[in-house]
Amino acid sequence: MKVYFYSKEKVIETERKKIQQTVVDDFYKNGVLVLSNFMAPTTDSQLSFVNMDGLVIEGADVVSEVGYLIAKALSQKKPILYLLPKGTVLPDQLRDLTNDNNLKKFFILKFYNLKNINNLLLEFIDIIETGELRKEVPTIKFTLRFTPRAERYLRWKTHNTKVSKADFLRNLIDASINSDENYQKNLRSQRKTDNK
Amino acid sequence: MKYKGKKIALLFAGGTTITEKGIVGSTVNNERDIDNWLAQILEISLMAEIIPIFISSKSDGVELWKKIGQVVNNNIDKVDGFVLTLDVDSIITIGSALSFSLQNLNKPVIITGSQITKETIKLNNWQEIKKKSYGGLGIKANLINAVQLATMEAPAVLVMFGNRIIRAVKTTRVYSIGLNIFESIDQKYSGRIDFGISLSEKFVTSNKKIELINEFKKNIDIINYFSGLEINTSSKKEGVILKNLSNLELVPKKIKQPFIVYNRYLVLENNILVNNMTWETTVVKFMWALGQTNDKKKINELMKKEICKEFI
Repeated sequence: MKVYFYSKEKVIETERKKIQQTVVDDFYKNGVLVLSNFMAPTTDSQLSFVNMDGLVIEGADVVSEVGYLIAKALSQKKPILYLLPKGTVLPDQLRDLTNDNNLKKFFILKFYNLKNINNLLLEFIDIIETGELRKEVPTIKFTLRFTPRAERYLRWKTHNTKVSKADFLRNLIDASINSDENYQKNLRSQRKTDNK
Repeated sequence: MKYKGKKIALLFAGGTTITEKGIVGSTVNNERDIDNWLAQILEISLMAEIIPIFISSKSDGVELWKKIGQVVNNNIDKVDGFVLTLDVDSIITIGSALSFSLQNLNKPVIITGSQITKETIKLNNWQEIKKKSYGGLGIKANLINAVQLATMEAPAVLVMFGNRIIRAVKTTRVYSIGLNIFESIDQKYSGRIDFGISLSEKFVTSNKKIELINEFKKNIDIINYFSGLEINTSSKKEGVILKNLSNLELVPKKIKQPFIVYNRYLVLENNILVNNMTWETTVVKFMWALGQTNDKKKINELMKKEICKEFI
């Protein structure tokens, strides 16, 4: 598996430097070949963008190059993992992308910190391996009862936002999955067992 | 989806088919088709604010060359760059024509196009060809690269096709269909596409005002010399090109109008001989020179003067 990782070449913030290295190291540990704009260019003609399995972008500083890479990946229907530091806002340039039904299924936006980055990358590997973004589509239906107090809170929280109550709850659960280290360890051990 | 970044004028003049499925629905045949077409290629709006301008549905004729030159000239101060879509068969000639007509060009004019036509999709090995070309046969991949290139500092008329960026005046066609159907005659490329766009040519931006010299004479005679055959030309023609003439002494004395001899393999210092440009560039430049004057000496001087990096 090969992914292209784009991040600002010269980062000053220590945490972001760590993240850059973590992304490269984590992919490497999981057997993924990483090519990046801040690594030495490859001379192997087979390692062109069309032969990549996915694109990972880190950072809120969107330059023209990022729009171009996303456009290329989308046109080739390759999954994109867009990593933003927790607490930052999605750049305007990309906001509408998440509203387009055809394009948003290839565009995965995640907010990272040093604790959850590993899980986000593993999830992305899973998505590439399964060949589709099926797991992102909610298909299981069940009845859930809330207290009036919880319902009032949900209504208040989603009022005047474009997020439905169901999406709000789904996002909470997704965030919990990503940050639950024990659960992720469990997933990793399952994957190792499956690969044996 | 509107990106308020650089403004790129997208000029439609043929070569717009996106996919073989619904070939009519994915082609711009008139102005009304543009919105539907752009909706199928939303990706480009991530890179720039696109300003569509419909010129023609087919890339043919000197009048079209002049019209495109006029559109570029009229919009040069309103946008950061231009992307021009053309039928692949016309890319070299129109690219060369614009290279000569748009003097002191200070913005990129990037030409690209789609190879998908009603004829190509009927080829027996069409699916195989398409697969080998990594999906680069449609306009989508070329267009994304072209729009990005148009946002960069590359003030020239360039052909963006497959993974190559070539000066239009140096472009030559080497394959009928495939990923890289064009190459540079001297193997010098303005840039390449890998993970991004890498420009290898150092461009100089002119600080002079753009000048449109947009006259081309189309009433010229092209005589392809073959040893042993008689050379006949009509006196009604405004200019003559003798192609592949092996010896300048064979030029008929009766040719009164301006003429040149084109032979890439003839090594001589002579005012009438052209051996340092592609064939297409030579013809277009001669038509352009004739558009400015009918003085034989001045025409030969213009042919010997490098205008837009056309010399090999």
